Amino acid sequence: MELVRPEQAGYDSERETPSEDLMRVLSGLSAEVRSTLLLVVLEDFSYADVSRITGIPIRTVISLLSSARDRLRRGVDETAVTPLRRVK
Amino acid sequence: VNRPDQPVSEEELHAYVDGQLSSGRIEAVQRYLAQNPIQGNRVAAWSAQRASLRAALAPVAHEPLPPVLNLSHLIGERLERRPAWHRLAAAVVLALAAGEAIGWFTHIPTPESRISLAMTLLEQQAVATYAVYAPDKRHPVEVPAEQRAHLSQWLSNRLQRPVAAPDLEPLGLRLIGGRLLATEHGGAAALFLYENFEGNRIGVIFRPMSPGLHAGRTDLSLGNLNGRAWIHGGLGYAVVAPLPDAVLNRVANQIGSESTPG
Repeated sequence: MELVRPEQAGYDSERETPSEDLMRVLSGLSAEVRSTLLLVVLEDFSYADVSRITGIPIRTVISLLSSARDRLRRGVDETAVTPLRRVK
Repeated sequence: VNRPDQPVSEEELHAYVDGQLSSGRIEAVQRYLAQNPIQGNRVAAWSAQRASLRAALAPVAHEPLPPVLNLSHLIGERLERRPAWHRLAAAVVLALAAGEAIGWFTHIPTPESRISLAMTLLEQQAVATYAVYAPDKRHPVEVPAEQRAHLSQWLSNRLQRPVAAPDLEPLGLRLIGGRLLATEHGGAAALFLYENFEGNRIGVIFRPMSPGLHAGRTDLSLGNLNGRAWIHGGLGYAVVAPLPDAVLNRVANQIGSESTPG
């Protein structure tokens, strides 16, 4: 797989509906994992805030985040028709 | 505290993606990612996901929430002890976190359940609204018919779409006035209340629903209450009164013809 550097990360706009794959995988995650991810991604809470809100220890918050993000990545890769491409 | 040479942690990788990394560590994380292609790819995918999730869900995160969110089983009573702003934001997110809600918002095809859910909400609102306000002799409305223009402007502002009291005079129904309603998700809806010459009251409820949603007219009844409800262009309509079907059909037709010009 071609290396995509973080500063170049982003979705190829020509790729078909990335959000559908993403939503499908997202809805397969456990509620705990999904909530943690969405509190961070959508609401921009700090990890400490997420920990306070959910009552989950911060180290667990981090590992739930890793779990959510890695599972989304694998899930989307598996269903992707076109692989991620380098984006300028 | 953050020394540039200390090892990069998993937390810092997330913080980098989420824009929460302290500026003193950004360079170290970037260097680490450049030297570790496996982690570099991983973090790049996370960034892409983040952008996609926000693009897909952020625009709807502030819409009125569907009722799929029996939040209690997700979060227990923990949130009850948290400050209100936490509870609010968490409610939004946890609502989105429910699988069904994601389908609702992102239009993954579940049209039947979406429509039946929407109709249930609309009907419940209509019946409850009528039951509470219509029998009130002295204060059934907030703004009386004499201020019709103001009523329409106010409710349009609150519902964030043009709404006006339908003209039902041709059917012998006099406008009493209107009021603002709260939906169970914290949205705004509207009641217009009418009266026939026998003193029977008819409620017309406008309730914003999911954008673009349509649903054909259905009958509803509860006790001696009769009603019609439908959704057109993301706006829910309901007509409720203790009156015969024929009257309700005429009112619904009249409103339907106003809302779909031509």
